[in-house]
Amino acid sequence: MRRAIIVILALAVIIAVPFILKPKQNFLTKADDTLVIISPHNEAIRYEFTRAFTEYYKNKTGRTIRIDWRLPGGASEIARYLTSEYYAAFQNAWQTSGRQWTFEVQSSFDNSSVTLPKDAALDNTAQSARRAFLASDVSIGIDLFFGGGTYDFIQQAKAGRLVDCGLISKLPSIFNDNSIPQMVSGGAFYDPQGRWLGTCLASFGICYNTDSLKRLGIDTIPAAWSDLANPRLAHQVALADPTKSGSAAKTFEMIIQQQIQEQVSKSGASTDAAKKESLAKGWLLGMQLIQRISANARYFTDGAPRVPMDVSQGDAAIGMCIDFYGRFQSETIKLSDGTSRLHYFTPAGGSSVDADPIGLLRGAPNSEAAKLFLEFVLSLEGQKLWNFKVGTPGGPTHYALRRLPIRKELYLPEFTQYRSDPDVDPYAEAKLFTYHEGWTGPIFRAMTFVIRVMCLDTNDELQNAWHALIAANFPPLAMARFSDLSAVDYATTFTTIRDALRSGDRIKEIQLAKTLGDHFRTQYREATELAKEGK
Amino acid sequence: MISITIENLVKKFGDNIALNHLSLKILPGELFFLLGPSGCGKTTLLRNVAGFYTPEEGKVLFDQEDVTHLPPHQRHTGMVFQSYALWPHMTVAKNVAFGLEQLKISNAEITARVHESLASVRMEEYASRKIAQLSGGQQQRVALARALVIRPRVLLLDEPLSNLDAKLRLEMRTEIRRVCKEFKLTAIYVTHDQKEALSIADRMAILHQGRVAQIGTPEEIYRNPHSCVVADFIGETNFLKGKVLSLNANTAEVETDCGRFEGILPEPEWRPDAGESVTLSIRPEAWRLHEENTSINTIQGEIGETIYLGEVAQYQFLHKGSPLKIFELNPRPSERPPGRKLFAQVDRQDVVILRQ
Amino acid sequence: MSRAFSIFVFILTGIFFACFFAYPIANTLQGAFLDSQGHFTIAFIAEVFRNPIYLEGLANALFFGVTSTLLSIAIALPLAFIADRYLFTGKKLLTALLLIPMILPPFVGAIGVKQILGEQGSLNALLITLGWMNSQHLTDWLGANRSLGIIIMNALHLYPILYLNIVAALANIDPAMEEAAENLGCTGLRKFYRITLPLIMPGLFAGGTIVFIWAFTELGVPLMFDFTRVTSVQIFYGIKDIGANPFPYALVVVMLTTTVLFYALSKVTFGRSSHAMMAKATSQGGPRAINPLGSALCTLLFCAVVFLAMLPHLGVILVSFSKDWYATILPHGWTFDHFKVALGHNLTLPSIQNSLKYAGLATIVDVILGIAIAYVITRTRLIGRELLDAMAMLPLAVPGLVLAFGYLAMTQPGKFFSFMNPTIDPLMILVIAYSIRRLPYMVRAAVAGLQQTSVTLEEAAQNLGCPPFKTLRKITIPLISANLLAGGLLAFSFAMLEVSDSLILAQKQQDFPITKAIFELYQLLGEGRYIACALGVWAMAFLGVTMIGVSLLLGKKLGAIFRA
Repeated sequence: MRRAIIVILALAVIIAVPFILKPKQNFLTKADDTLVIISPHNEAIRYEFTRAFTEYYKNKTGRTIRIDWRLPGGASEIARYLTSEYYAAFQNAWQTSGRQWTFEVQSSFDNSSVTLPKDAALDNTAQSARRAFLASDVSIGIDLFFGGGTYDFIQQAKAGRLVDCGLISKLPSIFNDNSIPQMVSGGAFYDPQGRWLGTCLASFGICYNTDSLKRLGIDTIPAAWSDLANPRLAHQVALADPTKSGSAAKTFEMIIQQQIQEQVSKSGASTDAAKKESLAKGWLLGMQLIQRISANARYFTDGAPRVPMDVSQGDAAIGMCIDFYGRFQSETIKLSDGTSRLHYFTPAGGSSVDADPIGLLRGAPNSEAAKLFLEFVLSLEGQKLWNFKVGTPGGPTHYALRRLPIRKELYLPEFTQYRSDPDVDPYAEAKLFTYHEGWTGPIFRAMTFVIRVMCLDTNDELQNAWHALIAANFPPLAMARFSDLSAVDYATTFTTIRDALRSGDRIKEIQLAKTLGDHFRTQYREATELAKEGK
Repeated sequence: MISITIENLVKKFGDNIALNHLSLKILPGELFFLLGPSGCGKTTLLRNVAGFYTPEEGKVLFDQEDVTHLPPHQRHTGMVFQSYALWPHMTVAKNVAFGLEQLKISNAEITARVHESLASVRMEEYASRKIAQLSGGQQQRVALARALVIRPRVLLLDEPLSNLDAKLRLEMRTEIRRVCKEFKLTAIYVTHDQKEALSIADRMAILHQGRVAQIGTPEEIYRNPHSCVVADFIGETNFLKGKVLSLNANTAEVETDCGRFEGILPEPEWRPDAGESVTLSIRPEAWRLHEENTSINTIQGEIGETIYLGEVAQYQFLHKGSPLKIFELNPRPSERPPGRKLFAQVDRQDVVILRQ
Repeated sequence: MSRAFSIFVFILTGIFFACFFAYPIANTLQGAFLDSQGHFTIAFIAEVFRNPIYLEGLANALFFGVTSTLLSIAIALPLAFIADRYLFTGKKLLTALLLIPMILPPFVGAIGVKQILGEQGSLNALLITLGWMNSQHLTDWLGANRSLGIIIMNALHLYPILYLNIVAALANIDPAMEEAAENLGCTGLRKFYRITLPLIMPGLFAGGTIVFIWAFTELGVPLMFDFTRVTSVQIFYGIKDIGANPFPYALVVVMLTTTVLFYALSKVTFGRSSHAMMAKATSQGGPRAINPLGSALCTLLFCAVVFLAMLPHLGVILVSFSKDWYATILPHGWTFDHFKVALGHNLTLPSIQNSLKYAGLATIVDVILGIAIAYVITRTRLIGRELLDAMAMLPLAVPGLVLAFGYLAMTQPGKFFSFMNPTIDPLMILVIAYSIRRLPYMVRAAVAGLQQTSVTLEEAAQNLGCPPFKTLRKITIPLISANLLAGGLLAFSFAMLEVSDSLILAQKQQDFPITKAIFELYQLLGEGRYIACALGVWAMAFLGVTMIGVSLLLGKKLGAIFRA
């Protein structure tokens, strides 16, 4: 009996602690209005924007508002979630109107490749389904999609799940080259049709642990993507999985684009044939670099914040990460003398600067509040939250978000003192790198597919071969075998692979993945053998 | 055939003394019974002989060999457990063969001896059965076969029949005796069932509070109990309290509440003084009922409640003192209705005078 | 109980399982059988067996399953044997602490492990301080021997299941069984191998089956070691793939089938051979005191295992109190701030309340379902009860993500179950999800209780005029209440730690359970890992006290729950 009392008492104490430490202010209580946002943003961003927007809303309308954040996970879970929710919602609407839910309807209503004739009377089933969806007010009960890569937003907009919020015409003072340009170095910062708008900027770069690099005998400070392929970094590079994260895929694309860029400028590429050759060569070099970086991989994570955390803890020496993750983590572990073992940099000319958008979802139930939120995020007040230090006028109250606002006004000298990263100017960074949509854009998915089969699926064999090569000091025959990428050269990727992926036939895609996978496994094994023989 | 000698054995469990300086000797080839109420130490003594317990003091000798500190598996005893302890994951034959396998005997011989042993307990056709498929009596036979097949120096039986029904018990106890004699085994048999002991024991020891209360043949124990404990434990008896009036060679006269009795003194080493308080033990079947007062050792009373069991009637005999139990063989209870005044008489050698 | 009532219970539980287990899984898994034209195909399944990467993943999963089980046995068997036979210093506490490894809160376990075994972790720092390692040549414990690491972590995480089973089995052996062997000249290891081991085999195998299924489908540990070529991880990553890929579902089908086959095999091989002990023990069994040296050795052994198994927990606890911790044996500085932030956070209190609510309700559902199913299994001869038995064990083998997506799909507007849509209120669907996933423990606990309780006790009540349902309430349930309590508390604990369902189904902040709150706080850069650890420590304290309490109160009865 005494024992039971002790156990119950202990439990009571444990349960009581959070009640005692309960926060005074609570954003989860009921309010006059509600706004539903689906987002991959982290708690810090959500906290600051909730706090600031509820105040803003109160001032504007005199009413209270509660933000209902929906958090099914990262960008890929959100994409999946939106797809299935709209699928069900439209199916419901379609069937309610008494029409047959056929395979053709379900595969075309959210398919952007279905083209619509001018005259609705000429529509076939697929086209009428598509037209009905685009004209509909089908709702999934969520107002806004906030945060992620432009890639995700472009896909959602294409599918018809995002709609024009009308802000571009309403605020011409913001949507121009002095504040938010439409295109910067080849990348869109907002959708001209207003279905999504950039809110802040992100670039990809490298974070590294100075202790680890020193221990591994790397004395030169890394500066470029190619530094990740240093053989001394075997099993020490933390990477993000390009098949899970759109932004990671984007980074790999940039590595390739940088190589193509170099080839193009080297050759001058005046003729079409020369251009073609430069493209093919640049692709090959870029892929080979990715191959060597992957051979150094410790892992391909699907949780982006993990990379800077692991690097700062010495669980990996170096890694690829989003700029603000790297900066934020470096700040957190700063010692009293101002130094930090974690450093972040964006490789010069190695990364585009991308917008991190927000968009209004089809059938938004609280569209008025949603539009106010959009306005707020793009207003100077909203923009200040992204990079101002905690406690500065108009800045965040609890978390320094260390992200880069999209509006150019924020980079004016008057704000320098308030900014967490006064030295960083993404618009200057962006000039060093120009994104050429035509080079790799059409084969973006094929590219991630190729990276997957040659680096991720076959990673064990790849690493074995790489270690054997390192041990044998890169004998030429083995190295040539290792880096032979003729099976996935530019032309093949652009034709065979892209076509297979576009066919929509899963079996075909998987068979291709298997064929290529087998090919690379064999190739890596042969390279291992050759390296062991010292050839 | 070996003898077993227990010398001055002490076994404690915490503060509880289970065996208190206990000594006894078991003769070669003897079927020896350990008998007593629960908690008297009989199982503890058996387990000391088997080697599962090591005593704090004293010795266990097999013939002249001191086995006190020999581990159980080196004593070469065969034990039949109360729960039989047959391994449910093996067949009957496997169970029996187990002990032989430990002795590094050729497979052919093992098979032969298992068969022989099962045959001796009439279980040969069950050799390939699983234990769970056997009845209680069959399990008991297998347990016996398993203990016997190794041709042990000593057979140890720990209440082997307590889980069987009455009829099977009768059958099995003669079976056990037959087997013991056939194999010429020295055997120790623990039981709390006096009928078992009286019927087949060569000799028996009554244990009480970790000591030997009395050792003897069944007849000696039954007819000449040396103490109230033994008299009470074995069979039924009537106790009468009284004082010694006079003493003869090995008899004495005692005055009780219901009259004067002449009885025998069972213990040669003990003679009470005149005037000493003693207890008389008189078996119910020793009384004879008469219409008239015939001779000495007679009391008068009347018939109380009667239980008629066919071959015997159990009467309650009411007199001045506490009621007596009287058994009559070949009775006609209708001739002795309750309330009928009668005289009960007992022979002198059936009156046992015991210390109080 | 009347046949009509039994059939009613059978049908009711059958419907519940069909609706909330079979249907959502089928919903998710149909992708494995439909080609792009929507026609039935087994091409995907066939492809799994043709693709060397998937085959290797499956082989690795089997390898981890078997080796982890063997290592768990190697750890649990000696511990259980010692606990059964000997008394030693601190035995009560240590045997209770043995169970703690089971309640490692998700996500933060990896932080703890890395903090200790990472290149800049405690262990290396300790070795450097001792002069046994060169600070310029650190050992990469987590990267060097990943397979070995996974097996060891699995075993250290899962051995309590086997330990509890073996202790229960040993306690059931009549000591005379072993004495008989000794009497016939068989001692020591031979006796153990020929008598004791076969007698505890049913218990060993029952626990081993659960451990195998668990290790076979384990996701967190391989992820911790970044080991990707194993089926569970392939499924996990496949499901998260951009664009619907049918292969993860084909893999789930293969894994599920493998599990079912293994379970069926274990039932056929060992199901019938459970040896009922015939009679009560004749001699005093129970543990006995040993000499001080032996006692100290036993204590040391238990301490060592507990220490090793709790390394991740220790790491998490230390992290939660540390300012920064990098390349040193212990943290650089200590602070309580993380607890203040974690427990004072907006998300925390509601999430704790939610978790208590979800897990509590789920436990009640489990208790009711568990009794009903156990009753049908043990007390009736209905045809198909074995099916129910097997079905009740299957949730162990289904990846949480698969069920979660199934629930999501079946509650869409317009579907029959749309009234449970988690975006409106996840309470119902989460309670159902939690209860389905933890039901196996409850069913096992109730079945064990009913098997140990003689049916004559119920018959006696009915003979005295008590109607069947009242008999259940008045006689049966009180008799098995200890089992129900143990099973219920375990179901509750594991429900509190549920990850997959929580992450997918709880979408609104005010509906978050504690695991999702930990996950959210973990995502915070910088202090995230410290805050998550602090919240993890709270969860560990809560569940640890619950578990130790249960084991102290129930002792050996706990073992019956982890039997397959």
